[in-house]
Amino acid sequence: MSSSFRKRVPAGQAKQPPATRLNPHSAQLLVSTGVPSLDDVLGGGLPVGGVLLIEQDRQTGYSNTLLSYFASQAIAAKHKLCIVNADQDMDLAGHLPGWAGAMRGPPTTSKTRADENPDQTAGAHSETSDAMKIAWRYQNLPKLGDSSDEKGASDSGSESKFCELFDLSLRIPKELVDRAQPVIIGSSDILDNAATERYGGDMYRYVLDRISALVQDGFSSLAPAPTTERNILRIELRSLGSGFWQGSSSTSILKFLHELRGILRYSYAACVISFPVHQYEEAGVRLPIVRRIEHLCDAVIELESFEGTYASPADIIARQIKGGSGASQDYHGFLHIHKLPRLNSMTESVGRLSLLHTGGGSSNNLAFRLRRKKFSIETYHLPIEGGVTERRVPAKDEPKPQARKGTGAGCHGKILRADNDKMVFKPLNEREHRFYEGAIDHPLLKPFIPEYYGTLQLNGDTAEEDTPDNQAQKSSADSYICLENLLYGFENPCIMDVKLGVRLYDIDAPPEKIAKMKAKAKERTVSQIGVMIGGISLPGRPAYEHKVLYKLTTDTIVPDALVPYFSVAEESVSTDYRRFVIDQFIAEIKEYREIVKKSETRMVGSSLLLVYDASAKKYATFLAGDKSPSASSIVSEDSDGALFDMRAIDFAHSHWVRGRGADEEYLFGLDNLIQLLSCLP
Amino acid sequence: MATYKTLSSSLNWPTGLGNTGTTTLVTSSGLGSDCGTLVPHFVNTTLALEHPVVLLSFTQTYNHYLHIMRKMGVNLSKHSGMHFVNGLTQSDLSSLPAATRPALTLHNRWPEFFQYLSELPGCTLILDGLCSLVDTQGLDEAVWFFEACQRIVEQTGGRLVVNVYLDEWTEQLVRRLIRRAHYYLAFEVLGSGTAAEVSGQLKAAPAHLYCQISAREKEFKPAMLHYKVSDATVQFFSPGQSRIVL
Repeated sequence: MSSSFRKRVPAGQAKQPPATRLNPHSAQLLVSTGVPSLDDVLGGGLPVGGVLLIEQDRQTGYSNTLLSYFASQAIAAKHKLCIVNADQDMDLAGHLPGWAGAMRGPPTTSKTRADENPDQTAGAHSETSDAMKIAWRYQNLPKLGDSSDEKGASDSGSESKFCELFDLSLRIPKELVDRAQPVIIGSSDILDNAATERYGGDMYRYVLDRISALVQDGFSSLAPAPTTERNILRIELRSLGSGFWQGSSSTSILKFLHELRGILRYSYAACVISFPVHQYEEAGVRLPIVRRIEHLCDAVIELESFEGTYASPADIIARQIKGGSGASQDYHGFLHIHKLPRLNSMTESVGRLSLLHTGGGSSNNLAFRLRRKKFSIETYHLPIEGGVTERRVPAKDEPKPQARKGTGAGCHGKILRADNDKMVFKPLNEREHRFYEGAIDHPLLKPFIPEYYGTLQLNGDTAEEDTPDNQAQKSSADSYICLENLLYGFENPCIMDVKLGVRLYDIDAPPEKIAKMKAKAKERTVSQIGVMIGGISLPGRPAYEHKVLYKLTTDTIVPDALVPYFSVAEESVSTDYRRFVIDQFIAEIKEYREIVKKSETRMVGSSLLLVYDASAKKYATFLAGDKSPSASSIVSEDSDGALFDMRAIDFAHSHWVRGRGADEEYLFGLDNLIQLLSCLP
Repeated sequence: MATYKTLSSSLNWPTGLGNTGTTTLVTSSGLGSDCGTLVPHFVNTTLALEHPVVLLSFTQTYNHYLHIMRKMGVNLSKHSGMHFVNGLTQSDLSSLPAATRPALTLHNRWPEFFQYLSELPGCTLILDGLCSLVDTQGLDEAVWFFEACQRIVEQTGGRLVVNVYLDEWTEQLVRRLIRRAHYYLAFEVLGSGTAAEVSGQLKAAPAHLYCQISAREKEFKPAMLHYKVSDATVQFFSPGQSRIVL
């Protein structure tokens, strides 16, 4: 609520610049960064004459959001804005967060309203005076909601809003940006001028001269006070010290900051610098120059985004599927305060003036989040144990949450599925993990194995029994590997797991196990043709029992497994579709065979997972869209349109070998599988 | 108070300063601690002894120190013995009001500064933020400048105080300075974390040249103290004794 009292400013005394306030403890002039919570953290605002260093988050752009707030606040407060960006040429229009007042257009003051409509205004005034007869002392006060940016009503600069309330869903209109006439020193400007003989390629020197000239042009405290009101110059240096910045020596940035500080101390200017600190690290350790740069700035904050720091997609997904974990949903990263301004004071004023940061250890519990409309810094609170929506300990009558197992075909043990069904989590097996990691070096093979997203830890989920049989390859109870869910997008999946290869045992298995597996292999088709049906799952039909499938012989494999498997396509869709699926599988397996022949791997106990969709609608859609089927159109990029898929899975006993050629036993199985499919009617 | 009596008694400095002709190296490591904390003490103690003070700052303006001292009850602008030399900027500061105008700007005027210094016998020269000279001129230049100042101060019977921010970048400078200093005061952040009641810790020890001080003048006591900075004063106390003192 504004007061009716007006401070009488002596004629000779300089007026306070607009949208500024004084720090009551250090008498230091402050400007807003545009983010109220950041102002709070800094102790009321950014000191005029000071430098705020923002250590950028890696791989995300939250620091750029802060800089855009700073620029928007400059425009809202009618401060002079200068942006230096050596990385790129900038166009501010359409990039700066707006505020509601900017959208409504420039307001009119009571004076301008009176000029435009004197009769109306007079009539209104008389009405007002009649209505406000009793409360006559409040007549001259502005009405509630009557915001005015024009200075006609008041001479005091502090009338302007210190910090505008910005809305990230709005953008400042281009005309407002143009009217503000910001000085943009972009990459072209810097490159062209720094390359001249005068600067000899030293971009820091050129930018410093530009800033110095700008300060001298009405913002220097060394110059006599202007007749008009003083204004503030806001300087933004984006990604200072990035790879695009070139100096005359390795310490150019230090000289730059030192001289910049000297210029700013005797000016009505405030500077915000974003610094890509991650580019100044070696083996995760910061280079010494980083601490020197921090010393040369008055305030240093660091944004550590969760996405940027935990770059593994599996970690990101894990945080997303853990609905009870509020941290990833509520916050986007930590804000670290390394240094706070101490201009004209020995202490930081934050302890007394801040709500978020009360000094001492409270600087390490701040987090930021970027909502749809605003960026805010808040105290970080750990989520309630067990989550707010889900009980950690289920009630007595509540069914225990089951790990969602996969179907019988293609699955072993407890495989979990993500809520969005796009990923599956398989208990981690070290050898399988190494196999997937090694697949990065075999790009040709990658399309034929499930997409691998890494590993993650889930608390309290599956735990395999520690038996002597699986102890050699015991997977960590909490660790999983994240794989693509191959069944995602299929409406009526028909699944078949085909084991390939002659061997059922691992090369480093104990002798008794090898003997046992050899004996088993003799009873099964693997030893004869290198092909064994591991499982079949058909929609709407009972699952095949393993022991039935394992007892198939070379003569019965086709009539008892392959024919019934593909018959669903004929029954659900059409004969043509059945033929189509078989042909495509054959083509895919042939292509896969050629890749495996060139890859040096041993896939023991590995399977091929054949999946096709018994959906007439899907087939009809496919036919309607593309009359000449090609491999690329069959399994579309968008897995929602997939008609079939063929991938190699189960690499718990597989490994990469070098210099030992292709796996002939595996190729033997592939050849026979192709033969078997080709024999199908 | 601008004179830290507890510190003086803990270090056994009867005058509040080191012996004449000595050099005190003050460092601060970490962003949380600030070696400028002792500047008010050295300034006020020297003025109280009616000796001149030359404060050459590479990091702050004169206004900064004026504000700090004013909160401590000392009006520096009224002391004729106070001389501020600007090492922060090369701009012409002659247009500033007399109260905040520096006596000299150091940039490209080192001989003039040395001459100015030599004409102030018995002064306490405080070099605040000498590490900035390393950034702009280089390590050898900074050490040379320090040695020149030290010679002049020793010849005129004064004292030299050097403040340096210690990090990996300035480590070499500190190593070379500590070999040329008599006292070494190191401001550090608390080793055990942060606290609202304690700003940091100070370790005071003799430096390499302390042995050159004559035995009867050797009164300095090494100490490890905690301290708390407030607007009006800095309080020093033994570790763990904050509750008694504050």
